[in-house]
Amino acid sequence: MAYNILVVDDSETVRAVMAKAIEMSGAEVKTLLTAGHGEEALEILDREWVDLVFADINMPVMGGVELVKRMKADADMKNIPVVIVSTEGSATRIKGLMDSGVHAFLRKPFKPENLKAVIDEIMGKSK
Amino acid sequence: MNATPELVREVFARVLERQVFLFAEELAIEDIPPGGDWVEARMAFNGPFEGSLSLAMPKDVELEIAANFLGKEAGDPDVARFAQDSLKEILNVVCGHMLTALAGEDPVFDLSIPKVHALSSGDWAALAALPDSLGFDMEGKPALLRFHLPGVTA
Repeated sequence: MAYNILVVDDSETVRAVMAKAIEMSGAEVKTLLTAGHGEEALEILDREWVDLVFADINMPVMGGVELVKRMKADADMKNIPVVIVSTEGSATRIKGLMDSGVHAFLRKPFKPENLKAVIDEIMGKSK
Repeated sequence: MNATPELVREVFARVLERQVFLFAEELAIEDIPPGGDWVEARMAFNGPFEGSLSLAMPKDVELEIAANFLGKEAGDPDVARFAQDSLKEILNVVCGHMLTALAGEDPVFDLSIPKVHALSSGDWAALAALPDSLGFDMEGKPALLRFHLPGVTA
């Protein structure tokens, strides 16, 4: 099954690198959508079918933490798996994110195989 | 918390190798050709302690690093377009790993959005003269890294 994946990061470079990493991971992707911040992501989630979201924490306008909070409060979005991709390694923050409903945390820099493992695990779980 | 130059060097070298496949080694600042066409990326962090991190390098080195980061040839038009953004992202990753190395995995830090600007010769000299600035040789390419904790000299 091919998935619709949304990558949310304020860096155009990171969005391009994530797209390449997803492609290299061998994950089956139907559509790869991108957003520059949480607010833009919510607009996309409102109109598109998305199977999985990769989001950064630290973004202007709306960061990843607020994005997750808003998604969890929305009946149509609350079950979409979210993976936080960040440079941060704080166990306290990671625990807080997991408690708020984030499915996984991927610390930068990562290898495509790490990404594939996360996609497989989450999409396997959500089937 | 002990931001020794050795720790800062170790973290920077580790991230650079994993992120852009370049080996970074210590280089005396006096051995770096001064000034020229350099750019600097800078960001701040706040948490149990606060400070800033900056990374400076010649513009042509910024392009090479961007090419490695993007996995593209140096002449690819995307490389120039994404060069500043790549430098910001590399700084962001270095900062995250530096803070974990220094403070451990419990504290939470807020990181600012990195900013990039051109360094004039005067700016370069001022940055190079700071006591917590460190010089690097990235496989023949120079860089300056400054991990600054107010009131602490690395």
